[in-house]
Amino acid sequence: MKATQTPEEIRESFINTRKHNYIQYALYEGIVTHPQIHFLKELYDRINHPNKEVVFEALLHMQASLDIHDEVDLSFEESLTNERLKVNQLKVLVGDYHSSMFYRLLARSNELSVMYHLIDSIKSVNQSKMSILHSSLSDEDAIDALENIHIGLFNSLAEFFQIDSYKSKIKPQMVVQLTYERPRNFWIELLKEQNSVQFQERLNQRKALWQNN
Amino acid sequence: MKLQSALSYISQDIQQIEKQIKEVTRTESSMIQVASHHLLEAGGKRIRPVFVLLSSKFGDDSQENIIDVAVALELIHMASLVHDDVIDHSTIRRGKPTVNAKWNNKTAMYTGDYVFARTLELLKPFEGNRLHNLLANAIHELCIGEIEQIRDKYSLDQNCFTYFKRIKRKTALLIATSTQLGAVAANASENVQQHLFRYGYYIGMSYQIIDDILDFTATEKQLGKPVGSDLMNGNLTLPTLLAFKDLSIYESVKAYFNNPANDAYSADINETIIKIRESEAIEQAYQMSRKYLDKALHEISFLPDQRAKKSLKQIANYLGKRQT
Repeated sequence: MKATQTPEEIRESFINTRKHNYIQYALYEGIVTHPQIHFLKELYDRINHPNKEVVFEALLHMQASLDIHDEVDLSFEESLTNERLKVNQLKVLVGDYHSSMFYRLLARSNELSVMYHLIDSIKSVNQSKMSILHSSLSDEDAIDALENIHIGLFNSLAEFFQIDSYKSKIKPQMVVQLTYERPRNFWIELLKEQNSVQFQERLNQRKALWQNN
Repeated sequence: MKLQSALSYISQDIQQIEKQIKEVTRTESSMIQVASHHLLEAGGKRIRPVFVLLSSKFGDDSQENIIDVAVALELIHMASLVHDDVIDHSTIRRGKPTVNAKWNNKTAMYTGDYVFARTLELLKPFEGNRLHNLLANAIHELCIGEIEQIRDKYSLDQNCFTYFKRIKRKTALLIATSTQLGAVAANASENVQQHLFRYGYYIGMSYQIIDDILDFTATEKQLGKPVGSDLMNGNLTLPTLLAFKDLSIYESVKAYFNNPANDAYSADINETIIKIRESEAIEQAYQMSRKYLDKALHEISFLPDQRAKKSLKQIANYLGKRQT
């Protein structure tokens, strides 16, 4: 896998060569998406660091881990088929597996400072998920948390490498595509369920704000 | 001498670990803190942190951050438990509702992920990547072991070799890493680090074999789950593999594995569990566990004479005799 490949090639290669051989390719549906890879490449091109390939791959592993854990069913249902239960169990484990790959890659390459920087955002992403899940936020805070869930890691990477054009050029497009245009977005659906009908309007306003940025 | 009194000289450190485990998320003021607290207050045997402390005695144990390593090892273990509870749909752990039962699966997932990230933060003061490399490898192997356990569920295509490989990954390596990391953090000699790693590895193997035996021989009350749960959940462990010499046991397990949802086979498997418990496979599994224990004790014999060496020996003997 090379960061210079196309997003399609990178996704294909990442899943085929990095997944555990027992795990089916299909389990990665909606995980490590082309837009995510596209924006990560945008950041990659602006990073000047000898180990940037490693950081690129480590971030893909962690984003895969965070996203696949979102796919675990909210609650255990007695009525689920054995196959569905197994898929659910594997999603827990595959997420853990990719998070261990993130740690192993960065530890091996002695990229500990970037690792610690990213860990801060991993904590923050998980905090955001919990806050939304337990509906303890105002509309504005909920939308901030929603965006943090989708771009927190990328933000953190851009911040660590102090990428100049990030805030003005990359971030606005990234927020729109990775948050508001992500298909099958569990978090947006949950927020809509939890909030009043006006919430959709708030979401639209925030999206427009980024689009006009 | 009882184990507790044998460890009295490190009791202050153990208390410090308990305190730090509970405080690790205290600075946060959110739902994640509530769920993490619920998880971390459930307690446990704390064998991993104790191993870190004892191993550090073979080096410069005045190093400030040894407690952090001990806490980190326990947190890694707990982060894996909270995810295991989602996988197994467990509702009770150590007499308390699991995080997934009290809230839901997703809460358990994010709590585990958060605790994992928090764990790595604890190791920030250590320079160089040796400690991280060792821990990262152990965690990675643990994940592979867990995936392969799911792969092998309800499969008869297994033998003692695949079983040992699985428990090495699932249990032994994290315990071995605990004993090794204590020594690494305290800058003990390379030779001592290797003996401690192997001690932890053999103890871990023995520990898991005994756990798997107890799944057949302990009572439901002692286990906190039905007797024979491993087999009922499609997991082949050493006692069953050894009991396959009796073809009637093999055939019964085969019928059940082919159709675990069929009530007729479920009734049969309960009888098979009793047969395994009463078979010589239990004593044979104990013998294997003792072999690993002897190897662990042999590794200790290479360590410099001091109090921690005696404690490691006592722990080995204690774990070898445990009934729950």
